[in-house]
Amino acid sequence: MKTQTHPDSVLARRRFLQGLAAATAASTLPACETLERDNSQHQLSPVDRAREASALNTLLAAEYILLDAYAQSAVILTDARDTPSRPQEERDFAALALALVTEFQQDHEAHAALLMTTVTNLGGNAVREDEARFTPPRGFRPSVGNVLKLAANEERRAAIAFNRVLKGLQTPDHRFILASIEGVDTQHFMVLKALIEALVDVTPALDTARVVPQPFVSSTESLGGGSGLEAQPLLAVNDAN
Amino acid sequence: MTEELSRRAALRRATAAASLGLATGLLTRASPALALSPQDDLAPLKALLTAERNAIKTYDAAVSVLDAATPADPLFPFQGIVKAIALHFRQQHIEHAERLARYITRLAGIDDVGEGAAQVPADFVPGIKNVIDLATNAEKAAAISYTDAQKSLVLADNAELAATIGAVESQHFVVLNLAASGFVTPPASTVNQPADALTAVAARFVPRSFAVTVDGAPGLDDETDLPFYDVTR
Repeated sequence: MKTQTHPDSVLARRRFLQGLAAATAASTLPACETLERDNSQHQLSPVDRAREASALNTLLAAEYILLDAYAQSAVILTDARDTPSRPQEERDFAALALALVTEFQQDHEAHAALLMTTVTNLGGNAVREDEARFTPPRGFRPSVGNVLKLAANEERRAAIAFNRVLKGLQTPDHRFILASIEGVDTQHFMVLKALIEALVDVTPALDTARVVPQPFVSSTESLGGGSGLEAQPLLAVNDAN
Repeated sequence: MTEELSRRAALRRATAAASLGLATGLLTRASPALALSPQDDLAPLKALLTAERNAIKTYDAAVSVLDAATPADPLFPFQGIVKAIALHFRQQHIEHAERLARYITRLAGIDDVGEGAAQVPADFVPGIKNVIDLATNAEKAAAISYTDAQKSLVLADNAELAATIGAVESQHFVVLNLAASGFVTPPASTVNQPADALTAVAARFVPRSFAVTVDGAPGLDDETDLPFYDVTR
């Protein structure tokens, strides 16, 4: 089954790509023309370093766009949560969704911070957050369910973008960073999909801070990033029934 | 031409070029890192293949435990859906192993890692909750291993494969961890249903075996966007 025939989806993707490209290429490429060779950067030539910085900058822009999308989503969800005329069930769902997207937003902030550091370390000019804004796709109707669907779509797209860019990078540490972020984006996607499609029933024990427990799959702290799933303790497998 | 107009023109050119680059993976050159041999990838690929074969055997053991569960187990009503999801994830690991073996062969390597062995701790106590916890631990370790493999892989194709599989192990982890943490339960419609009847439901958890389409196997890029304009659901 091949995907994506709805014109809104095609337009949204095109806007996404154009936005990323415009924001990053303009700010990175000129700066990288003057890069010097640095053996610590896997002995990349200046051209290759510029290429690598540009690719990472594209993903940094993607992170900023996602952050802006989540910020806009939070406004919609806060309104839904706080509007007394809405059914209580919808307000409760909005509160849950708001708590979740706030957590996911924090993960993306960590991703953006590490990408920015990495681009800067390569000698590139990191794209600014205010250069990468999210425009809701045409036809989008603000509602709790639609916010979650839009977020799921964007997380899926982000994971795909990270995987594709990763393939083109030469520096192992940079591939590692992208893989470590990509796996968290697919976690976000899966959680959102499970909620949207009612694949699970949420219990009162749900702690949104622990749903996607770490901002990276594997720790990127040595590269200036954050903690990974290694920080999660092993679950005991000897519980008595 | 004013500076502003010049910048705008540059932006337009960059937009066209970079859009194409992101879509086709051409923003950077897909070539091996310097001074390293593609043969250097055989060891990490074989390590990942070993882990996959072990995971398959571990799921086999887990399914046996689930089959042996009794109504005295507090999670017995969920036996069917847990088994269906375990079999779904197991099948995805089989696909991962097949792909890894194929990539090893392409490097003129030999698939000599054996059939694998179940990784069950000595203190494991049979029970549905412990099966979920065991699988959560295993998938977490797998997600980390695939990510860490990026530090040692040379060829771009192999790095892509590791990333696309690792992101799926990451999804396995998050699904299992939600259940293990008691944050969610399977929907009521699955209670007391046999696994055979829940295959389609289980397949919606982690819908693709790869994050991106790789070597002909469809990934999340083959999934349809959720219709955000649809407010009826």
